[in-house]
Amino acid sequence: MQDDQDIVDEVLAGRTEAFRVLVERYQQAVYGFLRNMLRNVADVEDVAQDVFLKAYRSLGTFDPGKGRWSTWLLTIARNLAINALQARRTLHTLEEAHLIQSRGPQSAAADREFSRCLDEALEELPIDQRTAFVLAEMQELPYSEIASIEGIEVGTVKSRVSRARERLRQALHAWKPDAAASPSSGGDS
Amino acid sequence: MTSDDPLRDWLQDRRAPQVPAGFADRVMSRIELEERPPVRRPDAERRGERLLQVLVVCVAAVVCLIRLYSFVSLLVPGSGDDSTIAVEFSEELKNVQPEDNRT
Repeated sequence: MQDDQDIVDEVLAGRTEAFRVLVERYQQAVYGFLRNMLRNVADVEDVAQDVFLKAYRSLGTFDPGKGRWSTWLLTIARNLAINALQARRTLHTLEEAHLIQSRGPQSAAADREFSRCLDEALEELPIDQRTAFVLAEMQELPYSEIASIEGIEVGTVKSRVSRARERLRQALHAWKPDAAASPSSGGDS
Repeated sequence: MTSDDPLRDWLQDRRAPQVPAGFADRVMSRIELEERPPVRRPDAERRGERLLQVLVVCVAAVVCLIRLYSFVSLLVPGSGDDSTIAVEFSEELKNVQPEDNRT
């Protein structure tokens, strides 16, 4: 697999089409992160496109000495997600069908209710906790990379994720007291 | 969703969202549009154009000044150095006046 930096160099040398490789390689990470941050599917698509467009425009400013290209890209995604959240406080709910996925109809109603409860709890988290939680628990990034993306210390990332997890557990407990008993897996170190 | 670890199940659900089909194509289309912005002309070309405009304005101003000077010098007789037209005009006037007095 071609190295990210090689592709970046190719694009900077004028081979614009090479940027497609980077889009295809990281669309899942960017889209997934934004979907968990913004929830509104239409917004997610727009912001995800903006992320890649901004990355393309400022490709010349990427410094491989400071970190990986994926970290740099997710920093752009994080900034645009925060901008979008600040610009639009009212969030829409996700299409229910997307959540049900392949489960049977009997459990679907309970699942929807349960997912909605946690989604709402996630939305109510402060933006800093929410970003750290989504990056750690949903994107499964190491704390050190999250620290780079957020521009904070690793210890701060850990405490944000921990507080977010605690809040979600409380929300879960309020919805279904017996369900919140088992702890969630944490991010890696 | 199993109730033994519901939070983990919920997280699992959120970890693999489907990227809409054709997403990369749409991104690349936007990038290609960016690639063809209105062609920016070189600075030298723009500077030449501006210089030409300034030159035209200057020439027009000079022409206006000359015409204005000619017009004013017709109306206002100078101190001794009357223009040829003004002298001819005043001589004609002198020739005409005695006839008017006779009538």
